[in-house]
Amino acid sequence: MTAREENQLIDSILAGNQDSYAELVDHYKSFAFTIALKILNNRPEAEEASQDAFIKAFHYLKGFNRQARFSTWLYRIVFNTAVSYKRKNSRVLSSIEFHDSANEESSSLEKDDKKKFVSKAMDQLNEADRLAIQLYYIKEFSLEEVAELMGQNMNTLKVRIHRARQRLADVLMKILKEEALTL
Amino acid sequence: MDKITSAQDDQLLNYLDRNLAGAQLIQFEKELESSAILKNRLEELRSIHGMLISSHSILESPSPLFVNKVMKNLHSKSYSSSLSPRNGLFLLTGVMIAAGILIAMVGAGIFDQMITLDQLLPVKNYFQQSLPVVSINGNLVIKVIVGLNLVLVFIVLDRTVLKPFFQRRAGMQL
Repeated sequence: MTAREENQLIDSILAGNQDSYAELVDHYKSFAFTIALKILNNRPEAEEASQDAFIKAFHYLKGFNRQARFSTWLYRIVFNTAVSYKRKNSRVLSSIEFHDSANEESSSLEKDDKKKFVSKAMDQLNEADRLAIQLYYIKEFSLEEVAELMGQNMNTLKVRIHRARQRLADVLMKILKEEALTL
Repeated sequence: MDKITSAQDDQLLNYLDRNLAGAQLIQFEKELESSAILKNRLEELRSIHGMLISSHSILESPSPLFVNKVMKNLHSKSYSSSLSPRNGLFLLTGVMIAAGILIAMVGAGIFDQMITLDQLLPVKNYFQQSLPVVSINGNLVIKVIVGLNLVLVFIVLDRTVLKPFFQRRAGMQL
C-alpha cells in the first residue's frame, strides 16, 4: 500500500467511514501481530495486544500528523502496547514460568534443526538484543524503522545489532561443536 | 593475523548487510582474499545471517477473525485520556488535599500579614540602599494558587471520570 493510498483511507476514516479502517487493519494485521509475538512470545497474548493497538490507533488517528508513514506510527503503538502487556504479565507470572512456557510452545513448533539452534543461541542474548535482532530480520524492516520502533538512536541500534550477531555467531558455533561431539 | 578484531567483525557484518560500497568495498574484498581467518569468520556470520533470515523473516498470521474482533471492539474502550482512571484518581486526591490544606491555612490567617521585599530578601546585609517598597499580599497569592488547583481538579475530574463515563454510556446506547 502506498503512502497516498494510506492517506486516502485515513481521510475516509476521519470522515466517518469505519469500513476503511477495516481495510487498514486487514493490510497491517500480520506485521502488527508478528511484532507483538516477537515481544510477547505467546500467540493469544500477541493477538490481544495487537488488536488493542489497532483500537488505540483508531482513537488516536486524529492526532496522526502524517509526517511519518502510517505503518511506522502504527508499529510504534503496537510495540508500546506489547511492551506494556509484557510488563503487566511479568507481575503475574514469574519470569521462569514465562520463559519455560514460551520455550515449550516454540519447541513444539520447531521441526527444523537450524531453527532450534538459532533459538537456543538467541536464548543466551539479553532481551533488548534479542528483540532488536528479531525485529531487524522481519521482512521489509530497515534499520531506521527498527530504531524508530524501539525508540533508540540509529547508531546505538546498529552497534547493538552488530554485537548481538557477533555474540550469536560465537554461541552458535559453540552449540554446533557440542552437537557434533555428541554425535 | 590469528584473531579477528572487533572492527573487522563490524566490517564483515557491514559487508553482509551490503553497507559497503566503492573503494571501501574493493579494499575489503582484497583483505578477504588474502586472509583465510577472515574468510572463515565471514562464512560463520553468513550462516547466522541466513539462519536468522529463514527463521525470522516470515510474517506470522493472526486468527482469521482478527479484523472482525478489532472492528467489533472499536468503541468498547476509551483511549482519549492519557491518564489511567487509577492514576487520575490519585492525582485528583492529591490536588484536593493540597487545596484543602491551603484553604485551612488561609482560614487560620497564616497569610494575612503583608510582607515587603526587604523582609523577604536579606539584601540589607549587602547593600545600604533599601529595596523599593513593594508589599506582597500572601493571602492573595495563596488564593490564586488555590484557584489554579481547583481548575486542575476540574480538568482531571473531567478527563479521568466524567468523559470516559459519558463516552461509555454513549457507546452503550449505539
